[in-house]
Amino acid sequence: MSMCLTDGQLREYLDGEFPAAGAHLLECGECRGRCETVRECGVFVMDSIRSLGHVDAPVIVMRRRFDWRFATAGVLAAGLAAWFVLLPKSQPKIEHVVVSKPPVVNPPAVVAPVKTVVKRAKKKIAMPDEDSFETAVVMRVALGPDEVLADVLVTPDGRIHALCLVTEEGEGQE
Amino acid sequence: MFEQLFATHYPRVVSMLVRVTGTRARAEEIAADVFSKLASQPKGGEDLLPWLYRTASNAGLDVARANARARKLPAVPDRVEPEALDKLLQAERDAKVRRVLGELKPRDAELLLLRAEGMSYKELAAACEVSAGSVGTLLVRAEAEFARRYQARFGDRR
Ligand SMILES: [Zn+2]
Repeated sequence: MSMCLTDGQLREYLDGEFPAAGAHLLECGECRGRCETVRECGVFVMDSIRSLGHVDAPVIVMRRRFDWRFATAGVLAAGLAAWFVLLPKSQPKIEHVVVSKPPVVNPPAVVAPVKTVVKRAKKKIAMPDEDSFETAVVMRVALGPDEVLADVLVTPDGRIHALCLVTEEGEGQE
Repeated sequence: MFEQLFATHYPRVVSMLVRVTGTRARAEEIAADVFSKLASQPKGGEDLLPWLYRTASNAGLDVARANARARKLPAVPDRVEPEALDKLLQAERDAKVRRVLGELKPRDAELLLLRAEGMSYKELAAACEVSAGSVGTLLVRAEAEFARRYQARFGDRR
């Protein structure tokens, strides 16, 4: 009879990582007994942890890298911004932009973090076209000679749907 | 490179942290913090995986320990609806499991949490910086230690 199995080998056998252990188990009652103990313990522990709750995979919307096509959109946005900045200031503020439609029950929607400190949109300036849309790309653009930062939402058809001027986090009042 | 790492591992890190902290908001907060630190590393890549998972699980386990210390057991009212009772019992059981996880050696807890997330032996070896041949042994020991502590503290496996 081959050598008896360690508990680690029994764990591997149960996880399908060491199928060769099966031959020994057929002929060794002692190892079969320990194998059952290892299995029961593993089921208890994994069931306990898995019952803690599960989240469906978060929906990740990756920011695209800078693209000259969107730079054009940024210039367009700059012109529109100059006009819309004169509109009443009581627009709702948005703190972050979520641009996904979760396919499952309430998954966290995530925008990939960028290396810089997350900046907070100070004010949202409504665009004339407020159609609903499912996906969009967030582009950060610099406007005008002072290079005022703004986030724009651009849908796949190239249209801009919202513009948010950006301030450093913690700076000033919202 | 970072974006690839983020897309592959962020969902798993969040899922693990939800289990260990009990709240999605806290889990995402920790994950965002860990990934922003990862983004600032001069050289990215798969060799940062052990750091990523160790840092995330340690932060999550800190929360679990703090919650266990602060937690007062909810008083069970004389009459409760069956559904509410189920929730109460589940919350009670979750608290026990998190408490025991918080008492384990960090690497043991990390191994169990990542295995519960469905990581293969190969992935576990990479994430926990152990040899692939030792994963079975480390897992079985961590499971035995979890079960031993659970039974020592709470008497049975319910
Ligand atoms: Zn044997």
